[in-house]
Amino acid sequence: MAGYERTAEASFGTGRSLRATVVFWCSVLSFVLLVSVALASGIGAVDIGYSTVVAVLVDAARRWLPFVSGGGFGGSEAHETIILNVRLPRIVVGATVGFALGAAGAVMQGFFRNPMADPTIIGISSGAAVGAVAVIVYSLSVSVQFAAFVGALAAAGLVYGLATKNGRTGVATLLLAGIAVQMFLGAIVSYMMHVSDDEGLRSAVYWLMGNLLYKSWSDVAAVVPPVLLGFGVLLFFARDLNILLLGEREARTLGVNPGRTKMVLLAVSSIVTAAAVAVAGVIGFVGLIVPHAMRLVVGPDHRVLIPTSALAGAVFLVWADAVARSVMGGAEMPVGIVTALVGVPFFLYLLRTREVHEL
Amino acid sequence: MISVEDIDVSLAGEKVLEDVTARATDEFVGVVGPNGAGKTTLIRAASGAAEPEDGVVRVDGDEISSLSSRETARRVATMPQNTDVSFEFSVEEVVRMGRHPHVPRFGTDRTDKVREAMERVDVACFADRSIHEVSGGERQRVLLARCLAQDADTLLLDEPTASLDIGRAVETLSLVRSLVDEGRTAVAAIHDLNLAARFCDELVLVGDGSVVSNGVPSEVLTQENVERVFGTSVHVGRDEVTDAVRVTALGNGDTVR
Repeated sequence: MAGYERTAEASFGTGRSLRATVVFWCSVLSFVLLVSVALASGIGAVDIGYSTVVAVLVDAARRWLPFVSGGGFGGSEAHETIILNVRLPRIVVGATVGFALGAAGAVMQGFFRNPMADPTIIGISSGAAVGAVAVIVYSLSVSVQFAAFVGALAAAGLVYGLATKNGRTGVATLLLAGIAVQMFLGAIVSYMMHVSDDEGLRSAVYWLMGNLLYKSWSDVAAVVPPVLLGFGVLLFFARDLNILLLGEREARTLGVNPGRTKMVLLAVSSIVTAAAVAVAGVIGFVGLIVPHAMRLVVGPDHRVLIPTSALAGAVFLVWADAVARSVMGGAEMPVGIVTALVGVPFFLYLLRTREVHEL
Repeated sequence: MISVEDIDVSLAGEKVLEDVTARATDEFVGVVGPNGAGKTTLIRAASGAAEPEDGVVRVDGDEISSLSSRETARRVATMPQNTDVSFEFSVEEVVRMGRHPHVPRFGTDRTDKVREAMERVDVACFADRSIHEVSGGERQRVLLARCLAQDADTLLLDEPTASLDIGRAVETLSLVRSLVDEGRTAVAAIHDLNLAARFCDELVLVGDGSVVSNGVPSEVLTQENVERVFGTSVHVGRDEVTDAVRVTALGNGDTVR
């Protein structure tokens, strides 16, 4: 009996409290993100030394944030322009997109109770593609970003509507409806590209590959608010999502309203994903592998998993984009290619080692 | 206190329960009957998970359909037959989910309920193991611990002893018995007639979607009732140790020794 009590003590004593775990991992990842942003600012066609990067960033911080003291190192004006107006907005957009895809991916994997789910699984990327490619090919007078955002949400809404019957939304039905709608929208995209001229075709393909080229501070302003707002809502429902993992019937007996919770989670993660896809095109595998990898590190509790996946997604995309900007010398590679090249082997590794027995 | 009044429940268009009435107040009620008679459906209807087409379910006098999921979960804890957790949660994390209806959204549970529940059901010794690694019987005890952590006055248990060996089955039902003696209400679907007769105050005998008989075990488990509902000949006697009603199935052939 004494032995039994000791074991019970030990098992309670060792585990850090949830709040401490969240604070620890979020601090570590936030720090890594800040360092990554600074390091990535030095990478690109023009080589800028890190002392200059730091000087420019500290100077800028001083101008914006009066409480930051020191600085006044003064990089050259050209370097300052490159870093502050070309690289930094692009890096911040990349980080935000990664943040959005990481958070939404964690939510979707929980929602579908499937570690192989992806945030675009309910037709978001195909819907965005239809909107974006239509604007590019037919030279419509709305922005590509807006059309992609609307297209993404329309597709998600359509899938949700198709999968909902008498107020009930089956998860498997949602998955299958998502696949069907994706194929249909894919055909529409193919048709539009088929009838397009060469220039339109090239831009459309480029958009579909996912890239962060020519991002400005106005793109930052467009993508950050919906992502952060949506992220807050997702965190709000993180514990309900844990309970929802038990299945709807059990979740109800534990005090979760499954219908309402599912609708909110799906709608908000769709908005977050749509905002990311609209600004950066279809960047695959971030939303799939980042939550997956984080789950191995921090465990399955969404109160830890959602924020850490978001931050890790941001770090991942900042580096993927840095690679995309630098591997081909002066020429750029779409970042979607980098994420897929890194993501697929990792995905296959997980498939072979960990998940086979569960699916 | 929980009651179902004249409920009809259909699953996939087929009527599973018809005109069922039952209640439990500060007592341990066992739901017994053959496979497919509607025991699990009755438990689900009482928990609010299956909505009756007709009739009402009441918890402490309030219609369950008028209560929020959260309020219902504070009053009624349900132990499912099994659970299918998709990711690697630890045993303790699963038990902690029972606190969900009590803890505010970003709050921390400052009570000792999780720990008490785990010790009472004897799962504390493997609190850190993954819910996927424990055996079927251990998992069932984890679910019972979650139910206790939920700290509701009414417990609904769906086959709480199904994967347990005889020792654990008796321990589990004794635990439920003592919870009822402390003032709770428990309703359990129980497969084993003899265990049900031994531990429950009252039994509800369900056959083919309706209540055939209810009352104290000795009135419900008569030879006539059991033979009619189960379609097999039985001998009904008394257990020489516990003095509870004991049903021995004889089968339909000449299998009597």
